[in-house]
Amino acid sequence: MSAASRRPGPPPRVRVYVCTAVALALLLAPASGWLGAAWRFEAWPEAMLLAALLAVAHRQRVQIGLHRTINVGTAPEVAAVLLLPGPLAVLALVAGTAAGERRGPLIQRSFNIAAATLRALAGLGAYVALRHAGPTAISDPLATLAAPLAMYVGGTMLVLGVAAV
Amino acid sequence: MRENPLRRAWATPHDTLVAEAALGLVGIMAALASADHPWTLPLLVVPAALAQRALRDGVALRAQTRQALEDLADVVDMRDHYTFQHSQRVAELARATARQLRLPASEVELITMAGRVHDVGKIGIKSTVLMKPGKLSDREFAEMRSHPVVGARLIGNFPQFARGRAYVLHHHERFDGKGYPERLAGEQIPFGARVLAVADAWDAMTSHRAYRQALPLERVYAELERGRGAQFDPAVLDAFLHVLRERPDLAAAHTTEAQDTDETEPQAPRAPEHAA
Repeated sequence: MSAASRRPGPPPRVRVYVCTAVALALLLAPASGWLGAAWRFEAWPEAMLLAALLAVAHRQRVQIGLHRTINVGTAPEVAAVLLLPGPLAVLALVAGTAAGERRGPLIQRSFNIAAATLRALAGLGAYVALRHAGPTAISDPLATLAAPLAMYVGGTMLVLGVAAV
Repeated sequence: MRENPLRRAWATPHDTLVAEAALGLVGIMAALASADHPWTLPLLVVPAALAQRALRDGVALRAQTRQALEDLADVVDMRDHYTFQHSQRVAELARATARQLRLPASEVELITMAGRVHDVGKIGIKSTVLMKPGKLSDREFAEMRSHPVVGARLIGNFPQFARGRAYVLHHHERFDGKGYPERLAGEQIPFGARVLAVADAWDAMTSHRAYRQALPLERVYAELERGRGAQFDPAVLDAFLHVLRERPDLAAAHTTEAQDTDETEPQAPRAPEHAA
Protein backbone atom coordinates (compact mmCIF):
# COMPACT_ATOMS: atom_id res chain seq x y z
CA MET A 1 0.00 0.00 0.00
CA SER A 2 1.42 3.37 -0.95
CA ALA A 3 1.95 6.15 1.55
CA ALA A 4 -0.55 8.31 -0.32
CA SER A 5 -3.31 5.73 -0.05
CA ARG A 6 -2.64 5.27 3.67
CA ARG A 7 -2.94 8.98 4.36
CA PRO A 8 -6.26 9.64 6.09
CA GLY A 9 -8.57 12.23 4.54
CA PRO A 10 -9.46 15.47 6.30
CA PRO A 11 -11.82 15.17 9.28
CA PRO A 12 -15.57 15.64 8.64
CA ARG A 13 -15.58 19.09 10.24
CA VAL A 14 -12.98 20.28 7.71
CA ARG A 15 -15.08 18.85 4.88
CA VAL A 16 -18.11 20.73 6.19
CA TYR A 17 -16.06 23.92 6.44
CA VAL A 18 -14.80 23.56 2.86
CA CYS A 19 -18.29 22.80 1.56
CA THR A 20 -19.57 25.92 3.34
CA ALA A 21 -16.81 28.03 1.76
CA VAL A 22 -17.62 26.62 -1.70
CA ALA A 23 -21.35 27.25 -1.23
CA LEU A 24 -20.68 30.78 -0.04
CA ALA A 25 -18.45 31.44 -3.05
CA LEU A 26 -21.11 30.12 -5.46
CA LEU A 27 -23.78 32.17 -3.73
CA LEU A 28 -21.84 35.43 -3.71
CA ALA A 29 -20.09 35.15 -7.10
CA PRO A 30 -23.03 36.73 -9.05
CA ALA A 31 -22.63 39.84 -6.87
CA SER A 32 -19.42 40.57 -8.79
CA GLY A 33 -21.67 41.85 -11.62
CA TRP A 34 -22.14 45.07 -9.67
CA LEU A 35 -18.48 45.46 -8.77
CA GLY A 36 -15.18 46.27 -10.43
CA ALA A 37 -14.09 48.45 -13.33
CA ALA A 38 -16.22 49.28 -16.35
CA TRP A 39 -16.39 46.82 -19.28
CA ARG A 40 -13.90 47.51 -22.06
CA PHE A 41 -12.39 45.57 -24.95
CA GLU A 42 -8.87 45.29 -23.49
CA ALA A 43 -10.20 43.62 -20.37
CA TRP A 44 -10.35 40.16 -21.97
CA PRO A 45 -6.66 39.82 -22.97
CA GLU A 46 -5.67 41.39 -19.65
CA ALA A 47 -7.80 38.85 -17.79
CA MET A 48 -6.23 35.98 -19.72
CA LEU A 49 -2.72 37.25 -19.07
CA LEU A 50 -3.37 37.68 -15.34
CA ALA A 51 -5.01 34.23 -15.11
CA ALA A 52 -1.96 32.71 -16.83
CA LEU A 53 0.40 34.52 -14.45
CA LEU A 54 -1.66 33.31 -11.51
CA ALA A 55 -1.56 29.72 -12.75
CA VAL A 56 2.23 29.84 -13.11
CA ALA A 57 2.54 31.38 -9.65
CA HIS A 58 0.46 28.58 -8.13
CA ARG A 59 2.59 25.94 -9.81
CA GLN A 60 5.80 27.56 -8.57
CA ARG A 61 4.85 27.56 -4.91
CA VAL A 62 7.65 27.90 -2.40
CA GLN A 63 7.50 25.72 0.70
CA ILE A 64 8.13 27.91 3.73
CA GLY A 65 7.24 25.43 6.45
CA LEU A 66 5.34 22.31 7.30
CA HIS A 67 2.09 22.45 5.26
CA ARG A 68 2.80 26.09 4.46
CA THR A 69 3.57 27.54 1.06
CA ILE A 70 3.72 30.98 -0.46
CA ASN A 71 3.49 32.06 -4.08
CA VAL A 72 3.73 35.29 -5.99
CA GLY A 73 0.09 35.07 -7.10
CA THR A 74 -0.83 38.00 -4.86
CA ALA A 75 0.50 40.47 -7.46
CA PRO A 76 -1.66 39.31 -10.42
CA GLU A 77 -4.63 38.82 -8.07
CA VAL A 78 -4.47 42.42 -6.84
CA ALA A 79 -3.94 43.70 -10.39
CA ALA A 80 -6.99 41.75 -11.59
CA VAL A 81 -9.24 43.10 -8.85
CA LEU A 82 -8.18 46.72 -9.44
CA LEU A 83 -8.11 46.55 -13.21
CA LEU A 84 -10.87 44.26 -14.44
CA PRO A 85 -14.68 44.35 -14.40
CA GLY A 86 -15.99 42.34 -11.41
CA PRO A 87 -17.10 39.10 -13.14
CA LEU A 88 -13.93 39.03 -15.22
CA ALA A 89 -11.75 39.54 -12.14
CA VAL A 90 -13.46 36.64 -10.37
CA LEU A 91 -13.18 34.53 -13.51
CA ALA A 92 -9.46 35.30 -13.86
CA LEU A 93 -8.77 34.35 -10.23
CA VAL A 94 -10.82 31.16 -10.44
CA ALA A 95 -9.34 30.10 -13.79
CA GLY A 96 -5.77 30.91 -12.72
CA THR A 97 -6.14 29.08 -9.40
CA ALA A 98 -7.83 26.07 -10.98
CA ALA A 99 -5.18 25.81 -13.69
CA GLY A 100 -2.37 26.14 -11.16
CA GLU A 101 -3.87 23.67 -8.69
CA ARG A 102 -4.40 20.74 -11.02
CA ARG A 103 -2.65 18.41 -8.60
CA GLY A 104 -3.56 17.70 -5.02
CA PRO A 105 -6.69 16.41 -3.30
CA LEU A 106 -10.02 17.58 -4.67
CA ILE A 107 -11.03 19.06 -1.33
CA GLN A 108 -7.90 21.19 -1.24
CA ARG A 109 -8.39 22.42 -4.79
CA SER A 110 -12.05 23.18 -4.12
CA PHE A 111 -11.12 25.18 -1.04
CA ASN A 112 -8.41 27.14 -2.86
CA ILE A 113 -10.75 28.01 -5.73
CA ALA A 114 -13.53 29.04 -3.32
CA ALA A 115 -11.02 31.08 -1.32
CA ALA A 116 -9.84 32.82 -4.52
CA THR A 117 -13.45 33.72 -5.37
CA LEU A 118 -14.14 35.06 -1.88
CA ARG A 119 -10.84 36.97 -1.85
CA ALA A 120 -11.72 38.59 -5.16
CA LEU A 121 -15.17 39.54 -3.88
CA ALA A 122 -13.70 40.98 -0.68
CA GLY A 123 -11.23 43.08 -2.69
CA LEU A 124 -13.87 44.23 -5.20
CA GLY A 125 -16.31 45.05 -2.40
CA ALA A 126 -13.78 47.11 -0.44
CA TYR A 127 -12.67 48.91 -3.62
CA VAL A 128 -16.17 49.87 -4.72
CA ALA A 129 -17.34 50.78 -1.21
CA LEU A 130 -14.45 53.14 -0.53
CA ARG A 131 -14.11 54.58 -3.99
CA HIS A 132 -17.34 56.49 -3.68
CA ALA A 133 -17.00 57.27 0.01
CA GLY A 134 -15.59 60.79 -0.34
CA PRO A 135 -13.59 63.19 -2.50
CA THR A 136 -11.78 61.38 -5.31
CA ALA A 137 -8.35 62.60 -4.21
CA ILE A 138 -8.75 60.74 -0.93
CA SER A 139 -11.11 57.89 -1.71
CA ASP A 140 -9.27 56.65 -4.82
CA PRO A 141 -5.93 55.89 -3.15
CA LEU A 142 -7.74 54.68 -0.05
CA ALA A 143 -9.84 52.24 -2.10
CA THR A 144 -6.76 51.10 -4.01
CA LEU A 145 -4.96 50.23 -0.78
CA ALA A 146 -8.04 48.79 0.91
CA ALA A 147 -8.71 46.24 -1.83
CA PRO A 148 -5.50 44.18 -1.34
CA LEU A 149 -5.84 44.55 2.42
CA ALA A 150 -9.37 43.15 2.32
CA MET A 151 -8.15 40.32 0.09
CA TYR A 152 -5.33 39.49 2.50
CA VAL A 153 -7.51 39.62 5.61
CA GLY A 154 -10.26 37.61 3.93
CA GLY A 155 -7.85 34.96 2.66
CA THR A 156 -6.06 34.71 5.99
CA MET A 157 -9.30 34.35 7.95
CA LEU A 158 -10.44 31.57 5.62
CA VAL A 159 -7.17 29.67 6.07
CA LEU A 160 -7.15 30.22 9.84
CA GLY A 161 -10.71 28.90 9.86
CA VAL A 162 -9.48 25.54 8.57
CA ALA A 163 -6.98 25.35 11.42
CA ALA A 164 -9.62 26.44 13.94
CA VAL A 165 -12.17 23.78 13.03
CA MET B 1 -3.30 25.05 28.76
CA ARG B 2 -2.95 26.65 25.33
CA GLU B 3 -1.59 30.00 24.34
CA ASN B 4 -3.88 32.91 23.57
CA PRO B 5 -5.57 32.02 20.24
CA LEU B 6 -5.43 35.67 19.11
CA ARG B 7 -1.65 35.70 19.56
CA ARG B 8 -1.44 32.45 17.67
CA ALA B 9 -3.66 33.77 14.88
CA TRP B 10 -1.39 36.80 14.57
CA ALA B 11 1.80 34.72 14.62
CA THR B 12 0.62 32.30 11.94
CA PRO B 13 0.49 34.65 8.95
CA HIS B 14 2.94 37.18 10.42
CA ASP B 15 6.07 35.76 8.79
CA THR B 16 4.58 36.06 5.30
CA LEU B 17 3.15 39.54 5.84
CA VAL B 18 6.12 41.44 4.41
CA ALA B 19 6.25 39.31 1.26
CA GLU B 20 2.48 39.60 0.80
CA ALA B 21 2.58 43.39 1.28
CA ALA B 22 5.38 43.76 -1.27
CA LEU B 23 3.54 41.59 -3.80
CA GLY B 24 0.34 43.53 -3.17
CA LEU B 25 2.15 46.79 -3.95
CA VAL B 26 3.53 45.27 -7.15
CA GLY B 27 -0.05 44.37 -8.12
CA ILE B 28 -1.26 47.90 -7.37
CA MET B 29 1.52 49.47 -9.46
CA ALA B 30 0.83 47.10 -12.35
CA ALA B 31 -2.87 47.96 -12.26
CA LEU B 32 -2.25 51.72 -12.09
CA ALA B 33 0.29 51.64 -14.92
CA SER B 34 -1.76 49.48 -17.24
CA ALA B 35 -4.95 51.50 -16.66
CA ASP B 36 -3.35 54.24 -18.76
CA HIS B 37 -0.95 52.10 -20.79
CA PRO B 38 -2.36 48.58 -21.26
CA TRP B 39 0.87 47.38 -22.89
CA THR B 40 2.68 47.68 -19.54
CA LEU B 41 0.71 44.84 -17.93
CA PRO B 42 2.94 42.03 -19.29
CA LEU B 43 5.84 43.78 -17.53
CA LEU B 44 4.31 42.47 -14.29
CA VAL B 45 6.11 39.23 -15.12
CA VAL B 46 9.47 40.82 -14.30
CA PRO B 47 8.88 41.81 -10.64
CA ALA B 48 6.85 38.64 -10.10
CA ALA B 49 9.74 36.49 -11.34
CA LEU B 50 12.23 38.44 -9.23
CA ALA B 51 10.01 38.03 -6.17
CA GLN B 52 9.77 34.30 -6.88
CA ARG B 53 13.56 34.07 -7.10
CA ALA B 54 13.98 36.04 -3.86
CA LEU B 55 11.49 33.79 -2.06
CA ARG B 56 13.28 30.65 -3.24
CA ASP B 57 16.69 32.00 -2.26
CA GLY B 58 15.37 33.07 1.13
CA VAL B 59 13.91 29.64 1.81
CA ALA B 60 17.13 27.93 0.68
CA LEU B 61 19.18 30.17 2.94
CA ARG B 62 16.91 29.42 5.88
CA ALA B 63 17.14 25.70 5.23
CA GLN B 64 20.94 25.87 5.07
CA THR B 65 21.13 27.86 8.30
CA ARG B 66 18.76 25.47 10.00
CA GLN B 67 20.78 22.49 8.79
CA ALA B 68 23.98 24.06 10.09
CA LEU B 69 22.46 24.62 13.52
CA GLU B 70 21.03 21.09 13.59
CA ASP B 71 24.45 19.74 12.67
CA LEU B 72 25.85 21.70 15.59
CA ALA B 73 23.25 20.08 17.86
CA ASP B 74 24.28 16.67 16.53
CA VAL B 75 27.91 17.48 17.29
CA VAL B 76 26.91 18.20 20.88
CA ASP B 77 25.05 14.89 21.05
CA MET B 78 27.99 13.03 19.56
CA ARG B 79 30.48 14.44 22.06
CA ASP B 80 28.97 12.08 24.57
CA HIS B 81 27.96 8.73 23.08
CA TYR B 82 25.35 8.34 25.83
CA THR B 83 23.41 11.24 24.35
CA PHE B 84 23.80 10.17 20.73
CA GLN B 85 20.69 11.28 18.80
CA HIS B 86 19.17 12.65 22.02
CA SER B 87 18.06 15.86 20.30
CA GLN B 88 16.44 13.98 17.43
CA ARG B 89 14.46 11.81 19.83
CA VAL B 90 13.38 14.78 21.94
CA ALA B 91 12.30 16.63 18.79
CA GLU B 92 10.28 13.63 17.62
CA LEU B 93 8.60 13.12 20.99
CA ALA B 94 7.89 16.84 21.32
CA ARG B 95 6.39 16.91 17.81
CA ALA B 96 4.06 13.99 18.61
CA THR B 97 3.03 15.61 21.91
CA ALA B 98 2.40 18.99 20.29
CA ARG B 99 0.23 17.32 17.66
CA GLN B 100 -1.64 15.46 20.36
CA LEU B 101 -2.32 18.83 21.98
CA ARG B 102 -3.76 19.98 18.64
CA LEU B 103 -1.44 22.95 18.38
CA PRO B 104 -1.34 24.71 14.99
CA ALA B 105 1.09 23.31 12.43
CA SER B 106 3.41 26.32 12.73
CA GLU B 107 3.62 25.85 16.50
CA VAL B 108 4.28 22.12 16.12
CA GLU B 109 7.05 22.97 13.69
CA LEU B 110 8.53 25.52 16.08
CA ILE B 111 8.50 23.13 19.04
CA THR B 112 10.08 20.39 16.92
CA MET B 113 12.78 22.78 15.77
CA ALA B 114 13.44 23.94 19.34
CA GLY B 115 13.61 20.30 20.47
CA ARG B 116 16.20 19.64 17.81
CA VAL B 117 18.51 22.37 19.13
CA HIS B 118 17.47 22.55 22.79
CA ASP B 119 20.86 21.34 24.07
CA VAL B 120 23.02 23.25 21.61
CA GLY B 121 24.26 25.41 24.51
CA LYS B 122 26.19 22.39 25.78
CA ILE B 123 28.73 23.15 23.07
CA GLY B 124 30.34 25.53 25.54
CA ILE B 125 30.56 23.00 28.38
CA LYS B 126 33.86 21.26 28.98
CA SER B 127 33.93 17.56 28.06
CA THR B 128 35.24 16.73 31.52
CA VAL B 129 32.01 18.13 32.96
CA LEU B 130 29.69 16.87 30.26
CA MET B 131 30.93 13.29 30.47
CA LYS B 132 31.92 13.16 34.12
CA PRO B 133 30.82 9.81 35.50
CA GLY B 134 30.69 10.91 39.13
CA LYS B 135 28.88 13.60 41.04
CA LEU B 136 29.35 17.15 39.78
CA SER B 137 30.85 19.82 42.02
CA ASP B 138 28.80 22.97 42.64
CA ARG B 139 30.88 24.83 40.11
CA GLU B 140 30.48 22.10 37.49
CA PHE B 141 26.78 21.91 38.19
CA ALA B 142 26.48 25.67 37.69
CA GLU B 143 28.33 25.32 34.39
CA MET B 144 25.97 22.55 33.31
CA ARG B 145 22.99 24.70 34.24
CA SER B 146 24.22 27.51 31.99
CA HIS B 147 23.48 25.58 28.79
CA PRO B 148 19.90 26.84 28.25
CA VAL B 149 21.12 30.45 28.45
CA VAL B 150 24.06 29.80 26.14
CA GLY B 151 21.84 27.89 23.72
CA ALA B 152 19.17 30.59 23.70
CA ARG B 153 21.81 33.25 23.07
CA LEU B 154 23.27 31.20 20.24
CA ILE B 155 20.03 30.48 18.41
CA GLY B 156 18.65 33.96 19.09
CA ASN B 157 21.10 35.17 16.45
CA PHE B 158 19.24 33.24 13.76
CA PRO B 159 15.96 34.91 12.74
CA GLN B 160 14.14 31.67 11.95
CA PHE B 161 14.95 30.29 15.39
CA ALA B 162 14.20 33.52 17.25
CA ARG B 163 10.65 32.45 18.16
CA GLY B 164 11.93 29.13 19.49
CA ARG B 165 14.53 30.89 21.63
CA ALA B 166 12.20 31.06 24.64
CA TYR B 167 11.53 27.32 24.42
CA VAL B 168 15.25 26.55 24.51
CA LEU B 169 15.87 29.04 27.33
CA HIS B 170 13.12 27.62 29.55
CA HIS B 171 13.17 23.90 28.83
CA HIS B 172 14.61 23.21 32.32
CA GLU B 173 12.03 25.28 34.16
CA ARG B 174 9.72 23.36 36.46
CA PHE B 175 5.97 23.80 36.73
CA ASP B 176 6.33 24.52 40.48
CA GLY B 177 8.89 27.28 39.85
CA LYS B 178 11.93 25.41 41.14
CA GLY B 179 13.65 25.00 37.80
CA TYR B 180 16.26 27.11 36.03
CA PRO B 181 17.44 29.54 34.69
CA GLU B 182 14.67 32.00 35.68
CA ARG B 183 12.57 29.92 38.08
CA LEU B 184 9.41 30.56 36.10
CA ALA B 185 6.29 28.71 37.23
CA GLY B 186 3.09 27.41 35.67
CA GLU B 187 1.71 29.48 32.83
CA GLN B 188 4.74 31.79 32.97
CA ILE B 189 6.73 29.04 31.28
CA PRO B 190 6.27 29.18 27.50
CA PHE B 191 4.04 26.34 26.39
CA GLY B 192 6.60 24.89 23.98
CA ALA B 193 9.17 24.76 26.78
CA ARG B 194 6.74 22.73 28.90
CA VAL B 195 6.40 20.24 26.06
CA LEU B 196 10.19 20.02 25.66
CA ALA B 197 10.62 19.53 29.42
CA VAL B 198 8.57 16.32 29.42
CA ALA B 199 10.16 14.91 26.26
CA ASP B 200 13.64 15.77 27.49
CA ALA B 201 13.05 14.19 30.90
CA TRP B 202 11.67 11.01 29.33
CA ASP B 203 14.68 10.68 27.03
CA ALA B 204 17.12 11.42 29.84
CA MET B 205 15.58 8.79 32.11
CA THR B 206 15.29 6.09 29.46
CA SER B 207 18.88 6.55 28.25
CA HIS B 208 22.08 5.28 29.74
CA ARG B 209 24.18 8.12 31.02
CA ALA B 210 27.78 8.31 32.17
CA TYR B 211 26.60 8.52 35.77
CA ARG B 212 23.81 5.91 35.72
CA GLN B 213 22.10 3.29 33.59
CA ALA B 214 18.73 3.80 31.96
CA LEU B 215 15.89 3.50 34.45
CA PRO B 216 13.39 0.67 34.08
CA LEU B 217 10.26 1.80 32.25
CA GLU B 218 8.01 1.25 35.28
CA ARG B 219 10.20 3.61 37.29
CA VAL B 220 10.24 6.15 34.47
CA TYR B 221 6.44 6.22 34.38
CA ALA B 222 6.37 6.50 38.17
CA GLU B 223 8.80 9.42 38.05
CA LEU B 224 6.73 11.17 35.41
CA GLU B 225 3.64 10.79 37.60
CA ARG B 226 5.59 12.02 40.60
CA GLY B 227 6.51 15.12 38.61
CA ARG B 228 2.89 15.87 37.64
CA GLY B 229 2.14 19.45 38.63
CA ALA B 230 5.58 19.78 40.23
CA GLN B 231 8.04 19.35 37.40
CA PHE B 232 5.61 18.94 34.51
CA ASP B 233 2.50 20.66 33.25
CA PRO B 234 -0.25 18.07 33.94
CA ALA B 235 -1.99 18.74 30.60
CA VAL B 236 1.24 18.30 28.67
CA LEU B 237 2.08 15.17 30.66
CA ASP B 238 -1.33 13.67 29.86
CA ALA B 239 -0.77 14.34 26.16
CA PHE B 240 2.72 12.86 26.34
CA LEU B 241 1.51 9.69 28.08
CA HIS B 242 -1.24 9.40 25.49
CA VAL B 243 1.39 9.62 22.74
CA LEU B 244 3.43 6.85 24.38
CA ARG B 245 0.32 4.66 24.55
CA GLU B 246 -0.71 5.37 20.96
CA ARG B 247 2.79 5.34 19.50
CA PRO B 248 4.69 2.55 21.25
CA ASP B 249 7.18 2.70 18.37
CA LEU B 250 8.35 6.10 19.60
CA ALA B 251 9.09 4.82 23.09
CA ALA B 252 10.19 1.30 22.16
CA ALA B 253 12.68 2.25 19.46
CA HIS B 254 14.39 4.57 21.81
CA THR B 255 14.50 2.40 24.91
CA THR B 256 15.77 -0.61 22.91
CA GLU B 257 18.46 1.61 21.48
CA ALA B 258 19.36 2.76 24.96
CA GLN B 259 19.62 -0.80 26.25
CA ASP B 260 22.04 -1.68 23.44
CA THR B 261 24.21 1.37 23.81
CA ASP B 262 26.38 0.43 26.70
CA GLU B 263 27.16 -2.33 29.11
CA THR B 264 29.00 -0.41 31.77
CA GLU B 265 27.99 -0.79 35.38
CA PRO B 266 25.90 1.96 36.86
CA GLN B 267 27.97 4.77 38.25
CA ALA B 268 27.51 6.82 41.36
CA PRO B 269 24.65 9.20 40.72
CA ARG B 270 25.42 12.86 40.34
CA ALA B 271 23.15 15.80 40.77
CA PRO B 272 20.65 15.14 38.01
CA GLU B 273 19.57 17.70 35.47
CA HIS B 274 15.97 16.69 36.04
CA ALA B 275 14.38 16.13 39.40
CA ALA B 276 13.41 12.69 38.17
